[in-house]
Amino acid sequence: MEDEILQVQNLTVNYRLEDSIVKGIENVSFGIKKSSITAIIGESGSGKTTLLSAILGFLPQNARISGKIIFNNEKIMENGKYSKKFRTNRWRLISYIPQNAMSVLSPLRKIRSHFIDTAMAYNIPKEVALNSAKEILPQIGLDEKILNYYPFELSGGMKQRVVIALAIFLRPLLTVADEPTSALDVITQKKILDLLKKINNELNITFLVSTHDISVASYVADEIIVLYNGHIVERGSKEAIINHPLHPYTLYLLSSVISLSSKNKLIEIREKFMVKHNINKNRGCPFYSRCPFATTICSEEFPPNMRINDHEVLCNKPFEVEKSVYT
Amino acid sequence: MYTLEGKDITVILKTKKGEKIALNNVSISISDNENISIIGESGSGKTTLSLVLAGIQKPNKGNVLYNGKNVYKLKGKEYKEFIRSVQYIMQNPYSAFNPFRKVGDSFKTVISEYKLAKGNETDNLIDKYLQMVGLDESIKTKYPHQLSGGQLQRAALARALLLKPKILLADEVVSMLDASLRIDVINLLKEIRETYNISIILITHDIGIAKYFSEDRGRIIVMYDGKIIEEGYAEEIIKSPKNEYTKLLLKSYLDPFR
Repeated sequence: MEDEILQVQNLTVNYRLEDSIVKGIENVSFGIKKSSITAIIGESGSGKTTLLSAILGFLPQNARISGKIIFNNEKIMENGKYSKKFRTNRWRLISYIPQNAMSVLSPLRKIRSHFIDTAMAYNIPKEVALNSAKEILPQIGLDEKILNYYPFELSGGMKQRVVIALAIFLRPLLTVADEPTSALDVITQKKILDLLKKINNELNITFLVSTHDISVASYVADEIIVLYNGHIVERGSKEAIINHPLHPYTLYLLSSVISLSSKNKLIEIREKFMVKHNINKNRGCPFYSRCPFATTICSEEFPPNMRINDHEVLCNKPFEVEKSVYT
Repeated sequence: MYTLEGKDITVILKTKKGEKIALNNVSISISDNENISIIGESGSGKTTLSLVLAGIQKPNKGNVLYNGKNVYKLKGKEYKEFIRSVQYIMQNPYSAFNPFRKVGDSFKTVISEYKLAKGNETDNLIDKYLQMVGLDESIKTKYPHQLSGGQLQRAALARALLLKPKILLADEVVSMLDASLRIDVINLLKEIRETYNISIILITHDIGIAKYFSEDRGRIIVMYDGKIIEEGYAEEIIKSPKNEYTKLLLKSYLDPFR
């Protein structure tokens, strides 16, 4: 589709260990719209970081990759081979805000050197780098004099902003942020999410953000992708996912949300998820073992990817949630 | 009937940058069947306060009284009884267990120290408490690193409950867990509170969790910069906060169903 800046097609990643193979993500396909913010939500071990690393070309040596990634209408990866154009221009196409933003800055180098080094890696002259850094810093609430500071002279929130500035100062088309707020207190968390929304809006940079917190996804994103055990189990617009989830796992995630204003009525649904079905190896639905709505077909058949209204859902019985909870 | 009181507590910590006042003249009183959430950001003094109340960090000024007696002057039997009655559960369960010992062995130390059971009864007792927190007995033979954060946090809770404490200080016990698992641990704490009549003080930076834990006639205490800046019934604080910082905390809370 023309308005999609990124298309991931049938992406599968496994890790080869000494005596076994560990599943990362399996047959994942999706697109993200230009200028949107898309959130990937999943628990630890769901494959979020694997998926983001595959898009960035950061996967370790022992990863086996198949599938295709199309970026800005050009193929940047096929079966684990990344195109030269992508490798030599990466930061200008897709940049990255890492999970542990507090500890990625070199303690021995001034902030200005971080900008210069990043630019030089892509053959951009020093002056151009510093000029674009000076242009970006005030827009994200930092004074340009911090360029002469060392990281230890900055607060945690300021370091977080520097890392964001480093990701966007070369004006990439897409920025990938891995759990950008998981280590922050609630007040700073909201400020950083507001900043990402502002950058998205004013600089027209597309964002792909991963989080384990559906409240964060709901606040920041236009589109939400729900990842479970290496599979995309549901995706759609924020409104669709939050207000009318179709996949039981999405419902489970929503039942963990504590609302300050409304009665937390979804919390009672959690009891249903106490079930434990025995898994049928290599067959059936990936969510079968924990699904309260599962029937025989779910233990036998891998679910189809259904398109219903503006959702896509991987489920054998995609109307059960709607029937049992929302009517 | 019992009370744990902190009176005019001041704690000054020595840091690389000089001295920091971690707690500035703070007073708090806890009695039977209380349900309290202490909220505040990192550096607000909430952990220091709970360590002082647990008898772990001696304050520079002020007193901690358990049933009227100064906790930091207790000796012998009385001290042992206090340590047993007031249990502290820390944020990171991996630092609460000896990494070289099986989880079950950590339970056995507690059981023999307080002579809670003998011989065969020991294993039965451990099983009973593991079951209480929703864990399978097989985790007895595992090492801490073989368990997930959520499982080990439940084990830490079970180990504290062995001693039948009267007061449980739970310090950021869910902040290391995935958002989707937090509520289950909070539900477990609520259930324990109600079943065993234990006072639980939940320390958290998340006002949503504080509300959910204390909504049933519990108290919320808001800390900022070493001081208590607001306290009251949970419903009142959520509905009509008076302090500007509390208002900011509520405004910053992400609520998809608002």
